[in-house]
Amino acid sequence: MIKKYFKNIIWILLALLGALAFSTIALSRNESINAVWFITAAVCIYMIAYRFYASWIAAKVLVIDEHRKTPALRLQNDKDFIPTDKWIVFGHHFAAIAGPGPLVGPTLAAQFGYLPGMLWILIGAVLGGAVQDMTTLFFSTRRNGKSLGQMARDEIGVIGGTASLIGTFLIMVILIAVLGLVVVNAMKHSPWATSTVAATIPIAIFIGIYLRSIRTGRVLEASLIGFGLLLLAVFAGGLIDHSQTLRTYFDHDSLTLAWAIIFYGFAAAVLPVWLLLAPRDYLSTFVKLGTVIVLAVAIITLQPEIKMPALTQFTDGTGPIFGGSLFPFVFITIACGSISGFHSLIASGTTPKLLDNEKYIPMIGYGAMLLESFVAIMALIAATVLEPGIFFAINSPVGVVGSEAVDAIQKINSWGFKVTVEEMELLAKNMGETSLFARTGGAPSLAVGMANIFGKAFGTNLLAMWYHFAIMFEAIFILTTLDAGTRVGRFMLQDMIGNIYPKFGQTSWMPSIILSSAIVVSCWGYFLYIGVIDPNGGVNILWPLFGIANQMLAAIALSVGTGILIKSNKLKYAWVTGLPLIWLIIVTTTAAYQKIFSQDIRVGFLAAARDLTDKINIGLIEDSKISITHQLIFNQKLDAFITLFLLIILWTVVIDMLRISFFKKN
Amino acid sequence: MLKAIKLIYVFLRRLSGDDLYDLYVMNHKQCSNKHKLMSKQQFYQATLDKKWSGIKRCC
Repeated sequence: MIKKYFKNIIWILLALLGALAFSTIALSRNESINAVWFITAAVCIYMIAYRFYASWIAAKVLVIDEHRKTPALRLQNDKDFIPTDKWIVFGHHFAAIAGPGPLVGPTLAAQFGYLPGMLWILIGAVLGGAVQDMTTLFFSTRRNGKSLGQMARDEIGVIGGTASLIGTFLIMVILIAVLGLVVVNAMKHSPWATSTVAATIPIAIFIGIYLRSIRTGRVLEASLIGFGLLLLAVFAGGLIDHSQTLRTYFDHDSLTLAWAIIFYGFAAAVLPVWLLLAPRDYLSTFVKLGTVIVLAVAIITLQPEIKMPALTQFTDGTGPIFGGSLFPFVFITIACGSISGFHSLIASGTTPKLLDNEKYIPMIGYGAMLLESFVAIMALIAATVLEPGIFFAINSPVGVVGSEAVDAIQKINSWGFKVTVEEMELLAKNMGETSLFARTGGAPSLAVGMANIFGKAFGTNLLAMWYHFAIMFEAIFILTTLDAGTRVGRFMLQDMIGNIYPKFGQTSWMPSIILSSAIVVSCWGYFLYIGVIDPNGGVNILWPLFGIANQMLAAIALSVGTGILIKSNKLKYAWVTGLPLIWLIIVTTTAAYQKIFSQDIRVGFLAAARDLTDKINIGLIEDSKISITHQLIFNQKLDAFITLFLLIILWTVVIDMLRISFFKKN
Repeated sequence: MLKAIKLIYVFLRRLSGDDLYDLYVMNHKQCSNKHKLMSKQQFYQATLDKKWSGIKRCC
């Protein structure tokens, strides 16, 4: 009895502490706030949500049965279905869902101030993202580990299944393009960053050979050796940067780097998995987990002050990083970290085949998403501990602030954020770069933030090393996603064309491999190319498009969940997945509508296309740039079409789900 | 202390997939599988083929 009261008191104290931290963050204005409040609010909310909400969903909504045999036990073989320890499944699941998204999204959304992103990451994760991951994991487990596409086809119909397939392919294409752009922007005219990222390729190949032929399958020791080599590559990058001869080999503009990435993507998709993709993945998982843990420890011990205001004037939609107002664009910009449809592809199909007991579903489905949300909080902290002037100088594209440092500084100062040319030059020098202006995409500003935090924790004389380590850390798993995504796209394409020409469906037939890889690479390569030649930085277009596609997939996953709950006579609990679904429908529809039809040329695709056409007609565009401008106009129209297509898919799935749930009840 | 280090080592091996082949051999015996036991290299290749044929990494 006393123990019970004691437990209750602990939870009440935790709730009070969480409320205090949350209100401190929410009510703080015009004064700096310590990052510890962010961590405190996040941890308290996660613990309470996990203890009460996830448990309630498990017990009442899903009715998890710990005595029921999971597919891993019933269908155990030595291939797919392998009962695995819960912590190992948790580790695999988390490593699979946590990509670069939770690092990039919150950094970009920091243009609105720290508060909107912070609130959305916390609320979105506990009420939306974690619920989606957990329910999808549960429903897939109860269906022998079926994938989201299969469940959508079974539960909603052919339309739902096809929509999720097309949605997945589209997300893949846009995601790879935007991530490629992030890496390009981090490497442009930076010999140190370029040489370090380039060195990860031979390192991965060496580890691949080691794992296959020297010490087969010894992943742990190979990862440790690879990690040592990566650190060496960061150090060697510094030496290359200081050598007048060597640095010229790695000093390239965006377009050259974009072509290099496109060529690399094609090679990675065609080469055997063991040679490049698999070893890179082992290395990136190792580096990712290690860096995230060290960053968390550094933030907790250093307790840095947040410099960004709670809200900036850019909530009105005039932000330099991407156009669009706070609603709906903060909810589109931060997908991974709050709610990400992509997770449902991991939570179905892969993880359920390893689960040895249903009772671990909340821990793995809900818990891993909370941890990813925590990574997003740390990324937000790393971005907002920077002086706002510096943050905007790094992240604002040339098209907004101009190509000259003086113009950029004037513009940023006119927004009320103090920064000088000298400060930016000193910062670039400290980070081992020639310039940090207009390094859009989020990776460089996050790297500067991380370098500052690591520098304070471990010594400021190594700032440049920390900066390039952070760039390497981001690039290595961005490139893994790029490799893996291109390969998955290739398989999907081979499968689809294989229905018409069966020989093409043979995944090991070389002409099919080369042709399908070339098609997939051309798709994302096109968007990457356009992103690079776009003076507004490309991120302004590509990231919202990715966000819309990702949230659309989340809506499909939640539609499947809601449909199953309604059909299982659990209408009274359907709000658990239904409410986040309604929110996503509102957000995605509004964002898609604005992206297509807004009259603001930095938001609406069609308005931007019209504006460029008018500029050509009245002779405002130089002759040498007319050809590029035509490409940009075509791209704006194409983006409008894709957005409309995504919107139609979303509404078709939702209407079909409601029709089948209410009118075709089994 | 040594026991704790050993536990961590075992956990890291399991998490990284370092001991996958050992587990496979153990499973193979337990399931009295009719398939021929794969060599280390064959198993490594099969694991990679299986792992990278679907969506295994997120955004």
